Amino acid sequence: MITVEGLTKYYGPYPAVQDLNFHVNEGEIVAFLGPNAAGKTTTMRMLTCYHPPTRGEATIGGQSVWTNSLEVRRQIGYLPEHIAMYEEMSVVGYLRFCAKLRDVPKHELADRVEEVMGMCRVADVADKLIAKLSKGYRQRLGLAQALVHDPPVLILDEPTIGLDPSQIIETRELIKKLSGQRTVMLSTHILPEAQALCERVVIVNHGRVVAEDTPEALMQQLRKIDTILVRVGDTSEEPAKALRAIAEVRAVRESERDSSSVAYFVDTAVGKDLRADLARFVVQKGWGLLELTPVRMSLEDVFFHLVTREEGGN
Amino acid sequence: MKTEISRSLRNILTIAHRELFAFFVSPVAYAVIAFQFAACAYIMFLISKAAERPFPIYEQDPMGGGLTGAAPGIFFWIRFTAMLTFPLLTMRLLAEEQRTGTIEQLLTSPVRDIDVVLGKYLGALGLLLVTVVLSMVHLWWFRKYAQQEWPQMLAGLLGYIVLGATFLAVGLFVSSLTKSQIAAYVGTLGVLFLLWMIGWTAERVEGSGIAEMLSYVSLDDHWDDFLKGLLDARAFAYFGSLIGLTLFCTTRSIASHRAQ
Repeated sequence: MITVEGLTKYYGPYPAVQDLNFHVNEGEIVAFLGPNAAGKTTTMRMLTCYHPPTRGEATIGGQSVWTNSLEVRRQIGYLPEHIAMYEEMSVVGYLRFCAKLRDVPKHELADRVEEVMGMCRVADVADKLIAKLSKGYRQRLGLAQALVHDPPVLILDEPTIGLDPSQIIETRELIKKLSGQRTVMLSTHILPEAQALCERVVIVNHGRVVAEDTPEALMQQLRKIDTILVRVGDTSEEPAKALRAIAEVRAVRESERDSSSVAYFVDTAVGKDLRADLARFVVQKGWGLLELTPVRMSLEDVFFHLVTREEGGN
Repeated sequence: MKTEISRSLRNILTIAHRELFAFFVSPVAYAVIAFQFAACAYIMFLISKAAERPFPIYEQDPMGGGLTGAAPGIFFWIRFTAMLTFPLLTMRLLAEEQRTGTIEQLLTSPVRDIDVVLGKYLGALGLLLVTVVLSMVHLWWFRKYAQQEWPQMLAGLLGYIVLGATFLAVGLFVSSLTKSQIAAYVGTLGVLFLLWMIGWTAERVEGSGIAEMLSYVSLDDHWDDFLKGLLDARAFAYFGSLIGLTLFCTTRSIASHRAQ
Protein backbone atom coordinates (compact mmCIF):
# COMPACT_ATOMS: atom_id res chain seq x y z
CA MET A 1 0.00 0.00 0.00
CA ILE A 2 2.86 2.35 0.84
CA THR A 3 6.20 1.95 -0.89
CA VAL A 4 9.19 4.16 -0.40
CA GLU A 5 12.26 3.88 -2.60
CA GLY A 6 15.42 5.89 -2.25
CA LEU A 7 13.49 8.72 -0.62
CA THR A 8 15.79 11.63 0.19
CA LYS A 9 15.11 15.08 1.56
CA TYR A 10 17.58 17.88 2.06
CA TYR A 11 16.80 21.09 3.92
CA GLY A 12 19.34 23.33 2.31
CA PRO A 13 22.61 21.44 2.65
CA TYR A 14 21.35 19.32 5.57
CA PRO A 15 20.01 15.87 4.84
CA ALA A 16 16.90 15.11 6.92
CA VAL A 17 16.15 11.80 5.24
CA GLN A 18 18.60 9.84 3.16
CA ASP A 19 17.87 7.07 0.75
CA LEU A 20 14.97 5.65 2.71
CA ASN A 21 13.48 2.32 1.62
CA PHE A 22 10.55 0.48 3.16
CA HIS A 23 7.07 -0.69 2.36
CA VAL A 24 3.82 -1.13 4.22
CA ASN A 25 1.36 -3.79 3.14
CA GLU A 26 -2.38 -3.26 2.93
CA GLY A 27 -4.11 -3.53 6.27
CA GLU A 28 -0.88 -3.50 8.23
CA ILE A 29 -0.08 -1.29 11.23
CA VAL A 30 3.52 -0.20 11.06
CA ALA A 31 5.42 1.85 13.57
CA PHE A 32 7.99 4.30 12.43
CA LEU A 33 10.34 4.32 15.36
CA GLY A 34 13.26 6.60 15.98
CA PRO A 35 14.68 9.21 18.30
CA ASN A 36 13.72 12.84 17.86
CA ALA A 37 15.12 14.41 14.70
CA ALA A 38 15.56 11.01 13.03
CA GLY A 39 13.56 12.13 10.00
CA LYS A 40 10.19 10.63 10.94
CA THR A 41 8.14 13.78 10.49
CA THR A 42 9.95 14.69 7.29
CA THR A 43 9.20 11.26 5.85
CA MET A 44 5.53 11.53 6.78
CA ARG A 45 5.35 14.98 5.28
CA MET A 46 6.72 13.62 2.04
CA LEU A 47 4.18 10.78 2.06
CA THR A 48 1.34 13.24 2.63
CA CYS A 49 2.64 15.44 -0.20
CA TYR A 50 3.34 18.38 2.09
CA HIS A 51 7.02 18.37 1.19
CA PRO A 52 8.23 17.27 -2.21
CA PRO A 53 11.17 14.85 -1.86
CA THR A 54 14.59 15.96 -3.05
CA ARG A 55 15.07 12.55 -4.68
CA GLY A 56 13.45 9.18 -4.73
CA GLU A 57 9.94 7.87 -5.04
CA ALA A 58 7.04 7.19 -2.72
CA THR A 59 3.75 5.67 -3.74
CA ILE A 60 0.50 5.16 -1.91
CA GLY A 61 -2.01 2.75 -3.39
CA GLY A 62 0.11 2.67 -6.52
CA GLN A 63 -0.06 6.46 -7.01
CA SER A 64 3.15 8.45 -7.02
CA VAL A 65 3.60 11.52 -4.83
CA TRP A 66 5.30 13.11 -7.82
CA THR A 67 2.79 12.58 -10.58
CA ASN A 68 -0.49 11.92 -8.78
CA SER A 69 -0.24 13.99 -5.67
CA LEU A 70 -3.97 14.72 -5.46
CA GLU A 71 -4.87 11.01 -5.70
CA VAL A 72 -2.31 10.22 -2.98
CA ARG A 73 -3.80 12.88 -0.72
CA ARG A 74 -7.32 11.57 -1.28
CA GLN A 75 -6.29 8.21 0.14
CA ILE A 76 -4.63 9.57 3.23
CA GLY A 77 -5.87 10.63 6.62
CA TYR A 78 -3.11 12.57 8.30
CA LEU A 79 -2.62 13.58 11.91
CA PRO A 80 0.36 15.94 12.13
CA GLU A 81 2.55 15.96 15.22
CA HIS A 82 1.39 19.37 16.40
CA ILE A 83 -2.07 19.57 15.01
CA ALA A 84 -3.01 23.14 14.23
CA MET A 85 -6.66 23.87 13.58
CA TYR A 86 -8.66 27.00 12.92
CA GLU A 87 -9.26 28.16 16.46
CA GLU A 88 -12.26 30.28 15.59
CA MET A 89 -14.25 27.39 14.15
CA SER A 90 -16.57 25.07 15.99
CA VAL A 91 -15.76 21.36 16.13
CA VAL A 92 -18.56 20.42 13.78
CA GLY A 93 -17.84 23.35 11.46
CA TYR A 94 -14.20 22.35 11.20
CA LEU A 95 -15.04 18.73 10.44
CA ARG A 96 -17.48 19.80 7.75
CA PHE A 97 -14.80 22.02 6.25
CA CYS A 98 -12.31 19.14 6.22
CA ALA A 99 -14.87 16.75 4.76
CA LYS A 100 -15.70 19.13 1.93
CA LEU A 101 -12.06 19.65 1.05
CA ARG A 102 -11.53 15.89 0.94
CA ASP A 103 -14.28 15.18 -1.54
CA VAL A 104 -16.89 13.72 0.76
CA PRO A 105 -20.09 13.85 -1.35
CA LYS A 106 -22.63 16.41 -0.21
CA HIS A 107 -25.34 13.90 0.70
CA GLU A 108 -22.97 11.87 2.89
CA LEU A 109 -21.38 14.84 4.57
CA ALA A 110 -23.62 15.21 7.59
CA ASP A 111 -23.58 11.46 8.27
CA ARG A 112 -19.82 11.17 7.96
CA VAL A 113 -19.23 14.07 10.34
CA GLU A 114 -21.73 12.59 12.78
CA GLU A 115 -20.07 9.20 12.54
CA VAL A 116 -16.50 10.37 13.19
CA MET A 117 -17.63 12.59 16.03
CA GLY A 118 -19.11 9.50 17.66
CA MET A 119 -16.09 7.36 16.86
CA CYS A 120 -13.61 9.84 18.27
CA ARG A 121 -15.88 10.94 21.11
CA VAL A 122 -16.06 14.62 20.34
CA ALA A 123 -19.84 14.68 19.85
CA ASP A 124 -20.35 16.28 23.25
CA VAL A 125 -18.26 19.31 22.25
CA ALA A 126 -19.63 19.56 18.70
CA ASP A 127 -20.62 23.21 19.01
CA LYS A 128 -17.66 24.34 21.08
CA LEU A 129 -14.99 26.54 19.56
CA ILE A 130 -11.73 24.74 18.90
CA ALA A 131 -9.90 27.45 20.87
CA LYS A 132 -11.75 26.27 23.99
CA LEU A 133 -10.87 22.58 23.68
CA SER A 134 -8.55 20.77 26.07
CA LYS A 135 -5.47 18.97 24.78
CA GLY A 136 -7.24 15.61 24.93
CA TYR A 137 -10.21 16.80 22.93
CA ARG A 138 -7.93 18.47 20.40
CA GLN A 139 -6.14 15.21 19.83
CA ARG A 140 -9.44 13.38 19.39
CA LEU A 141 -10.57 16.04 16.96
CA GLY A 142 -7.26 15.63 15.14
CA LEU A 143 -8.04 11.96 14.70
CA ALA A 144 -11.61 12.75 13.69
CA GLN A 145 -10.45 15.08 10.90
CA ALA A 146 -8.03 12.42 9.69
CA LEU A 147 -10.91 9.94 9.45
CA VAL A 148 -13.67 12.13 8.14
CA HIS A 149 -13.25 11.08 4.50
CA ASP A 150 -12.89 7.40 5.42
CA PRO A 151 -9.36 7.08 3.99
CA PRO A 152 -7.78 3.68 3.36
CA VAL A 153 -4.45 4.90 4.73
CA LEU A 154 -3.83 6.63 8.05
CA ILE A 155 -0.61 8.46 8.73
CA LEU A 156 -0.28 9.46 12.37
CA ASP A 157 2.69 11.49 13.54
CA GLU A 158 3.30 10.90 17.25
CA PRO A 159 -0.40 10.36 17.99
CA THR A 160 0.03 10.11 21.75
CA ILE A 161 2.55 12.84 22.39
CA GLY A 162 1.63 15.27 25.14
CA LEU A 163 -1.30 13.23 26.41
CA ASP A 164 -1.78 11.99 29.97
CA PRO A 165 -1.58 8.23 30.63
CA SER A 166 -5.32 7.57 30.45
CA GLN A 167 -5.59 9.56 27.22
CA ILE A 168 -2.65 7.63 25.81
CA ILE A 169 -4.40 4.34 26.47
CA GLU A 170 -7.64 5.67 25.05
CA THR A 171 -5.90 6.90 21.88
CA ARG A 172 -4.08 3.62 21.42
CA GLU A 173 -7.32 1.70 21.74
CA LEU A 174 -8.95 3.96 19.21
CA ILE A 175 -6.09 3.45 16.76
CA LYS A 176 -6.32 -0.30 17.24
CA LYS A 177 -10.05 -0.21 16.63
CA LEU A 178 -9.60 1.92 13.53
CA SER A 179 -6.90 -0.15 12.02
CA GLY A 180 -9.04 -3.15 10.98
CA GLN A 181 -9.28 -2.70 7.25
CA ARG A 182 -7.05 0.37 7.12
CA THR A 183 -3.35 0.65 6.56
CA VAL A 184 -1.83 2.59 9.43
CA MET A 185 1.60 4.09 9.71
CA LEU A 186 2.38 5.81 12.97
CA SER A 187 5.55 7.38 14.22
CA THR A 188 6.68 7.22 17.79
CA HIS A 189 9.78 7.36 19.89
CA ILE A 190 8.16 5.29 22.60
CA LEU A 191 9.12 1.67 22.22
CA PRO A 192 6.31 -0.01 24.21
CA GLU A 193 3.85 1.88 22.07
CA ALA A 194 5.27 0.38 18.91
CA GLN A 195 5.22 -3.02 20.51
CA ALA A 196 1.65 -2.67 21.78
CA LEU A 197 0.13 -1.41 18.55
CA CYS A 198 2.10 -2.54 15.61
CA GLU A 199 2.72 -5.64 13.59
CA ARG A 200 5.92 -4.32 12.16
CA VAL A 201 8.50 -1.75 13.15
CA VAL A 202 10.69 0.38 10.92
CA ILE A 203 13.49 1.89 12.94
CA VAL A 204 15.07 5.04 11.55
CA ASN A 205 17.99 7.08 12.71
CA HIS A 206 19.74 10.02 11.09
CA GLY A 207 17.37 9.76 8.17
CA ARG A 208 18.13 6.14 7.36
CA VAL A 209 16.33 2.86 8.03
CA VAL A 210 18.45 0.91 10.48
CA ALA A 211 16.12 -2.04 10.97
CA GLU A 212 12.74 -3.26 9.77
CA ASP A 213 10.90 -6.28 11.14
CA THR A 214 8.27 -7.47 13.60
CA PRO A 215 8.97 -6.35 17.17
CA GLU A 216 9.59 -9.97 18.21
CA ALA A 217 11.94 -10.71 15.35
CA LEU A 218 13.87 -7.52 15.97
CA MET A 219 14.47 -8.50 19.55
CA GLN A 220 15.38 -12.00 18.52
CA GLN A 221 17.79 -10.77 15.94
CA LEU A 222 19.37 -8.21 18.15
CA ARG A 223 19.80 -10.56 21.07
CA LYS A 224 22.31 -12.36 18.94
CA ILE A 225 24.53 -9.36 19.20
CA ASP A 226 26.43 -9.95 22.38
CA THR A 227 27.19 -7.03 24.51
CA ILE A 228 29.77 -7.18 27.25
CA LEU A 229 30.17 -4.59 29.93
CA VAL A 230 33.84 -3.87 30.58
CA ARG A 231 34.88 -1.62 33.44
CA VAL A 232 38.47 -0.45 33.50
CA GLY A 233 40.53 1.74 35.82
CA ASP A 234 42.06 3.80 33.00
CA THR A 235 39.93 6.90 32.45
CA SER A 236 41.71 8.13 29.32
CA GLU A 237 40.33 7.73 25.82
CA GLU A 238 42.89 5.04 25.13
CA PRO A 239 40.82 1.92 26.10
CA ALA A 240 37.88 2.88 23.91
CA LYS A 241 40.14 3.32 20.91
CA ALA A 242 42.04 0.12 21.50
CA LEU A 243 38.84 -1.90 22.09
CA ARG A 244 37.34 -0.62 18.86
CA ALA A 245 40.43 -1.73 17.00
CA ILE A 246 39.79 -5.39 17.88
CA ALA A 247 38.51 -7.19 14.78
CA GLU A 248 35.55 -8.99 16.39
CA VAL A 249 34.29 -5.90 18.18
CA ARG A 250 31.46 -4.13 16.38
CA ALA A 251 31.01 -1.10 18.55
CA VAL A 252 32.11 0.41 21.83
CA ARG A 253 29.90 2.78 23.80
CA GLU A 254 30.68 4.46 27.03
CA SER A 255 28.16 3.42 29.65
CA GLU A 256 29.20 5.37 32.73
CA ARG A 257 32.21 7.15 34.07
CA ASP A 258 33.39 8.22 37.49
CA SER A 259 36.67 9.61 38.77
CA SER A 260 38.44 6.28 38.97
CA SER A 261 36.80 4.06 36.36
CA VAL A 262 34.99 3.95 33.04
CA ALA A 263 32.47 1.32 31.95
CA TYR A 264 32.06 0.46 28.28
CA PHE A 265 29.46 -1.55 26.43
CA VAL A 266 31.34 -3.65 23.93
CA ASP A 267 29.19 -5.12 21.14
CA THR A 268 30.66 -8.18 19.55
CA ALA A 269 29.88 -10.22 16.48
CA VAL A 270 27.07 -12.73 16.64
CA GLY A 271 27.75 -15.87 18.60
CA LYS A 272 31.34 -15.07 19.51
CA ASP A 273 32.07 -15.15 23.18
CA LEU A 274 34.90 -12.69 23.60
CA ARG A 275 34.87 -12.55 27.36
CA ALA A 276 38.09 -14.47 27.85
CA ASP A 277 39.87 -12.62 25.06
CA LEU A 278 38.74 -9.27 26.37
CA ALA A 279 39.87 -10.05 29.89
CA ARG A 280 43.28 -11.05 28.65
CA PHE A 281 43.50 -7.96 26.45
CA VAL A 282 42.61 -5.52 29.21
CA VAL A 283 44.99 -7.11 31.68
CA GLN A 284 47.78 -7.14 29.09
CA LYS A 285 47.30 -3.41 28.47
CA GLY A 286 47.46 -2.78 32.20
CA TRP A 287 44.26 -0.68 32.38
CA GLY A 288 43.06 -2.43 35.47
CA LEU A 289 40.13 -4.81 34.86
CA LEU A 290 37.43 -3.95 37.38
CA GLU A 291 34.39 -5.65 35.91
CA LEU A 292 33.45 -7.84 32.95
CA THR A 293 29.82 -8.89 32.55
CA PRO A 294 27.74 -10.14 29.64
CA VAL A 295 24.74 -7.88 29.13
CA ARG A 296 21.30 -9.17 28.23
CA MET A 297 19.52 -6.64 26.11
CA SER A 298 16.14 -5.33 27.03
CA LEU A 299 13.90 -3.98 24.32
CA GLU A 300 14.92 -0.46 25.23
CA ASP A 301 18.52 -1.49 24.81
CA VAL A 302 17.79 -2.91 21.38
CA PHE A 303 16.45 0.40 20.30
CA PHE A 304 19.22 2.32 21.98
CA HIS A 305 21.73 0.02 20.44
CA LEU A 306 20.36 0.51 16.96
CA VAL A 307 20.11 4.24 17.08
CA THR A 308 23.52 4.77 18.63
CA ARG A 309 25.39 2.21 16.58
CA GLU A 310 26.25 4.73 13.94
CA GLU A 311 27.94 7.10 16.32
CA GLY A 312 29.50 4.30 18.35
CA GLY A 313 30.69 2.21 15.43
CA ASN A 314 34.19 2.79 14.17
CA MET B 1 -17.53 10.58 -11.44
CA LYS B 2 -16.90 14.20 -10.66
CA THR B 3 -14.64 16.11 -12.96
CA GLU B 4 -11.52 17.85 -11.74
CA ILE B 5 -13.07 21.21 -12.55
CA SER B 6 -16.11 20.76 -10.36
CA ARG B 7 -13.86 19.45 -7.59
CA SER B 8 -11.67 22.52 -7.92
CA LEU B 9 -14.68 24.76 -7.87
CA ARG B 10 -16.03 23.13 -4.75
CA ASN B 11 -12.65 23.45 -3.02
CA ILE B 12 -12.33 27.11 -3.98
CA LEU B 13 -15.80 27.87 -2.69
CA THR B 14 -15.22 25.90 0.51
CA ILE B 15 -12.04 27.83 1.25
CA ALA B 16 -13.59 31.16 0.27
CA HIS B 17 -16.54 30.50 2.53
CA ARG B 18 -14.27 29.71 5.44
CA GLU B 19 -12.22 32.84 4.87
CA LEU B 20 -15.28 35.02 4.74
CA PHE B 21 -16.48 33.41 7.94
CA ALA B 22 -13.07 34.01 9.54
CA PHE B 23 -13.25 37.69 8.59
CA PHE B 24 -16.46 38.12 10.45
CA VAL B 25 -15.42 36.38 13.65
CA SER B 26 -12.42 38.66 13.95
CA PRO B 27 -12.80 42.31 14.87
CA VAL B 28 -10.41 43.38 12.10
CA ALA B 29 -12.98 43.17 9.33
CA TYR B 30 -15.53 45.20 11.30
CA ALA B 31 -12.90 47.77 12.18
CA VAL B 32 -11.82 48.09 8.55
CA ILE B 33 -15.36 48.44 7.27
CA ALA B 34 -16.32 50.93 9.96
CA PHE B 35 -13.16 52.98 9.45
CA GLN B 36 -13.58 53.09 5.73
CA PHE B 37 -17.22 54.01 5.96
CA ALA B 38 -16.59 56.74 8.51
CA ALA B 39 -13.51 58.07 6.73
CA CYS B 40 -15.37 58.38 3.43
CA ALA B 41 -18.25 60.17 5.04
CA TYR B 42 -15.97 62.56 6.86
CA ILE B 43 -13.82 63.28 3.83
CA MET B 44 -16.90 63.96 1.79
CA PHE B 45 -18.02 66.39 4.42
CA LEU B 46 -14.63 68.14 4.48
CA ILE B 47 -14.38 68.43 0.73
CA SER B 48 -17.86 69.83 0.46
CA LYS B 49 -16.91 72.42 3.10
CA ALA B 50 -13.66 73.26 1.37
CA ALA B 51 -15.54 73.96 -1.81
CA GLU B 52 -16.90 76.97 0.08
CA ARG B 53 -20.31 76.76 -1.29
CA PRO B 54 -23.36 74.89 -0.37
CA PHE B 55 -24.28 71.78 -2.27
CA PRO B 56 -24.54 71.15 -5.11
CA ILE B 57 -20.86 71.28 -6.05
CA TYR B 58 -20.97 71.36 -9.76
CA GLU B 59 -18.41 72.26 -12.34
CA GLN B 60 -18.29 71.28 -15.90
CA ASP B 61 -15.43 68.89 -16.53
CA PRO B 62 -13.45 70.36 -19.45
CA MET B 63 -12.93 66.86 -20.80
CA GLY B 64 -16.63 66.29 -20.55
CA GLY B 65 -18.37 63.20 -19.34
CA GLY B 66 -16.29 62.38 -16.27
CA LEU B 67 -16.87 62.88 -12.60
CA THR B 68 -16.89 66.55 -11.76
CA GLY B 69 -16.30 68.92 -8.91
CA ALA B 70 -15.22 67.25 -5.75
CA ALA B 71 -15.95 63.73 -6.98
CA PRO B 72 -12.43 62.80 -8.16
CA GLY B 73 -11.11 64.13 -4.84
CA ILE B 74 -13.44 61.89 -2.97
CA PHE B 75 -12.44 58.89 -5.00
CA PHE B 76 -8.83 59.78 -4.32
CA TRP B 77 -9.49 59.57 -0.58
CA ILE B 78 -11.49 56.40 -0.93
CA ARG B 79 -8.51 54.93 -2.69
CA PHE B 80 -6.18 56.22 -0.01
CA THR B 81 -8.16 54.66 2.82
CA ALA B 82 -8.43 51.44 0.83
CA MET B 83 -4.68 51.39 0.49
CA LEU B 84 -4.27 51.72 4.24
CA THR B 85 -6.99 49.30 5.27
CA PHE B 86 -7.05 46.51 2.67
CA PRO B 87 -3.64 45.17 3.72
CA LEU B 88 -5.23 44.70 7.16
CA LEU B 89 -7.65 42.28 5.55
CA THR B 90 -5.10 40.32 3.57
CA MET B 91 -2.24 40.22 6.08
CA ARG B 92 -3.85 37.31 7.92
CA LEU B 93 -4.72 35.16 4.91
CA LEU B 94 -1.57 33.10 4.49
CA ALA B 95 0.78 34.50 7.15
CA GLU B 96 -1.45 33.25 9.96
CA GLU B 97 -1.76 29.80 8.38
CA GLN B 98 2.00 29.57 8.26
CA ARG B 99 2.46 30.83 11.81
CA THR B 100 -0.03 28.47 13.42
CA GLY B 101 0.70 25.56 11.08
CA THR B 102 -2.85 25.13 9.80
CA ILE B 103 -1.37 25.38 6.32
CA GLU B 104 -0.12 21.81 6.74
CA GLN B 105 -3.71 20.56 6.91
CA LEU B 106 -4.68 22.61 3.91
CA LEU B 107 -1.75 21.53 1.76
CA THR B 108 -2.11 17.85 2.61
CA SER B 109 -5.77 17.88 1.61
CA PRO B 110 -6.49 16.95 -1.99
CA VAL B 111 -6.60 20.56 -3.07
CA ARG B 112 -4.40 22.14 -5.73
CA ASP B 113 -2.24 25.04 -4.57
CA ILE B 114 -3.91 27.35 -7.06
CA ASP B 115 -7.31 26.45 -5.58
CA VAL B 116 -6.08 27.40 -2.13
CA VAL B 117 -4.93 30.76 -3.50
CA LEU B 118 -8.11 31.37 -5.46
CA GLY B 119 -10.28 30.37 -2.50
CA LYS B 120 -8.51 32.78 -0.19
CA TYR B 121 -8.65 35.50 -2.81
CA LEU B 122 -12.32 34.96 -3.43
CA GLY B 123 -13.00 35.20 0.31
CA ALA B 124 -11.23 38.55 0.42
CA LEU B 125 -13.13 39.73 -2.66
CA GLY B 126 -16.32 38.86 -0.83
CA LEU B 127 -15.39 41.33 1.85
CA LEU B 128 -14.55 43.93 -0.78
CA LEU B 129 -18.07 43.55 -2.11
CA VAL B 130 -19.42 44.21 1.38
CA THR B 131 -17.61 47.54 1.41
CA VAL B 132 -18.91 48.26 -2.08
CA VAL B 133 -22.48 47.64 -1.02
CA LEU B 134 -22.00 49.92 1.96
CA SER B 135 -20.45 52.64 -0.18
CA MET B 136 -23.64 52.75 -2.21
CA VAL B 137 -24.97 54.90 0.62
CA HIS B 138 -22.26 57.46 -0.12
CA LEU B 139 -22.92 57.32 -3.79
CA TRP B 140 -26.59 57.83 -3.31
CA TRP B 141 -25.92 60.82 -1.07
CA PHE B 142 -23.37 62.13 -3.47
CA ARG B 143 -25.66 61.86 -6.45
CA LYS B 144 -28.47 63.53 -4.65
CA TYR B 145 -26.50 66.47 -3.30
CA ALA B 146 -23.64 66.82 -5.76
CA GLN B 147 -25.62 66.16 -8.89
CA GLN B 148 -23.41 63.49 -10.35
CA GLU B 149 -24.69 61.10 -12.94
CA TRP B 150 -25.07 57.42 -12.23
CA PRO B 151 -23.03 56.13 -15.21
CA GLN B 152 -19.97 58.19 -14.26
CA MET B 153 -20.28 57.29 -10.63
CA LEU B 154 -20.66 53.62 -11.44
CA ALA B 155 -17.55 53.84 -13.61
CA GLY B 156 -15.78 55.27 -10.57
CA LEU B 157 -17.17 52.48 -8.42
CA LEU B 158 -16.07 49.87 -10.92
CA GLY B 159 -12.64 51.45 -10.79
CA TYR B 160 -12.70 51.13 -7.03
CA ILE B 161 -13.63 47.45 -7.27
CA VAL B 162 -10.88 46.71 -9.78
CA LEU B 163 -8.35 48.67 -7.75
CA GLY B 164 -9.44 47.01 -4.50
CA ALA B 165 -9.19 43.58 -6.15
CA THR B 166 -5.62 44.45 -7.14
CA PHE B 167 -4.75 45.58 -3.60
CA LEU B 168 -6.12 42.32 -2.23
CA ALA B 169 -4.12 40.24 -4.71
CA VAL B 170 -0.92 42.07 -3.79
CA GLY B 171 -1.76 41.66 -0.11
CA LEU B 172 -2.38 37.95 -0.50
CA PHE B 173 0.97 37.51 -2.22
CA VAL B 174 2.92 39.41 0.43
CA SER B 175 1.07 37.47 3.12
CA SER B 176 2.33 34.24 1.57
CA LEU B 177 5.93 35.36 2.05
CA THR B 178 5.96 35.64 5.82
CA LYS B 179 4.66 34.20 9.06
CA SER B 180 4.25 37.64 10.56
CA GLN B 181 1.02 39.53 9.99
CA ILE B 182 2.71 42.83 10.78
CA ALA B 183 5.40 42.19 8.19
CA ALA B 184 2.68 41.25 5.70
CA TYR B 185 0.85 44.50 6.40
CA VAL B 186 3.90 46.73 6.12
CA GLY B 187 5.17 44.86 3.07
CA THR B 188 1.85 45.19 1.27
CA LEU B 189 1.66 48.87 2.10
CA GLY B 190 5.17 49.29 0.74
CA VAL B 191 4.35 47.61 -2.56
CA LEU B 192 1.14 49.61 -2.98
CA PHE B 193 2.93 52.88 -2.23
CA LEU B 194 5.58 51.97 -4.74
CA LEU B 195 2.99 51.29 -7.44
CA TRP B 196 1.51 54.65 -6.65
CA MET B 197 4.76 56.59 -6.55
CA ILE B 198 5.90 55.28 -9.90
CA GLY B 199 3.19 57.52 -11.31
CA TRP B 200 4.71 60.61 -9.69
CA THR B 201 8.08 59.74 -11.18
CA ALA B 202 6.42 59.53 -14.56
CA GLU B 203 5.25 63.12 -14.19
CA ARG B 204 8.80 64.29 -13.39
CA VAL B 205 10.47 62.75 -16.43
CA GLU B 206 7.80 63.82 -18.80
CA GLY B 207 8.23 63.43 -22.51
CA SER B 208 10.60 60.51 -22.60
CA GLY B 209 9.77 56.94 -23.46
CA ILE B 210 10.55 56.03 -19.87
CA ALA B 211 7.77 58.30 -18.68
CA GLU B 212 5.31 56.52 -20.88
CA MET B 213 6.46 53.18 -19.59
CA LEU B 214 6.37 54.31 -15.97
CA SER B 215 2.95 55.78 -16.29
CA TYR B 216 1.73 52.53 -17.79
CA VAL B 217 3.19 50.57 -14.87
CA SER B 218 1.70 52.95 -12.34
CA LEU B 219 -1.73 52.35 -10.87
CA ASP B 220 -2.61 56.01 -11.16
CA ASP B 221 -3.18 56.48 -14.85
CA HIS B 222 -5.37 53.44 -15.21
CA TRP B 223 -7.40 54.38 -12.18
CA ASP B 224 -7.84 57.89 -13.56
CA ASP B 225 -9.45 56.39 -16.64
CA PHE B 226 -12.29 55.12 -14.53
CA LEU B 227 -12.74 58.51 -12.87
CA LYS B 228 -12.96 60.11 -16.28
CA GLY B 229 -15.80 57.74 -16.96
CA LEU B 230 -13.67 55.78 -19.40
CA LEU B 231 -13.89 52.03 -19.45
CA ASP B 232 -10.64 51.42 -21.28
CA ALA B 233 -9.69 47.89 -22.23
CA ARG B 234 -6.09 48.76 -21.41
CA ALA B 235 -7.01 49.53 -17.83
CA PHE B 236 -8.76 46.19 -17.49
CA ALA B 237 -5.80 44.48 -19.12
CA TYR B 238 -3.46 46.25 -16.70
CA PHE B 239 -5.34 45.38 -13.53
CA GLY B 240 -6.22 41.92 -14.83
CA SER B 241 -2.64 41.04 -15.58
CA LEU B 242 -1.42 42.52 -12.29
CA ILE B 243 -3.93 40.38 -10.39
CA GLY B 244 -3.10 37.31 -12.49
CA LEU B 245 0.62 37.80 -11.97
CA THR B 246 0.39 38.26 -8.20
CA LEU B 247 -1.90 35.25 -7.80
CA PHE B 248 0.48 33.17 -9.89
CA CYS B 249 3.38 34.36 -7.73
CA THR B 250 1.37 33.40 -4.65
CA THR B 251 1.01 29.81 -5.84
CA ARG B 252 4.74 29.73 -6.56
CA SER B 253 5.36 31.08 -3.09
CA ILE B 254 3.26 28.27 -1.61
CA ALA B 255 5.16 25.75 -3.70
CA SER B 256 8.43 27.09 -2.32
CA HIS B 257 6.97 26.99 1.19
CA ARG B 258 6.35 23.28 0.63
CA ALA B 259 9.93 22.66 -0.44
CA GLN B 260 11.53 23.96 2.74
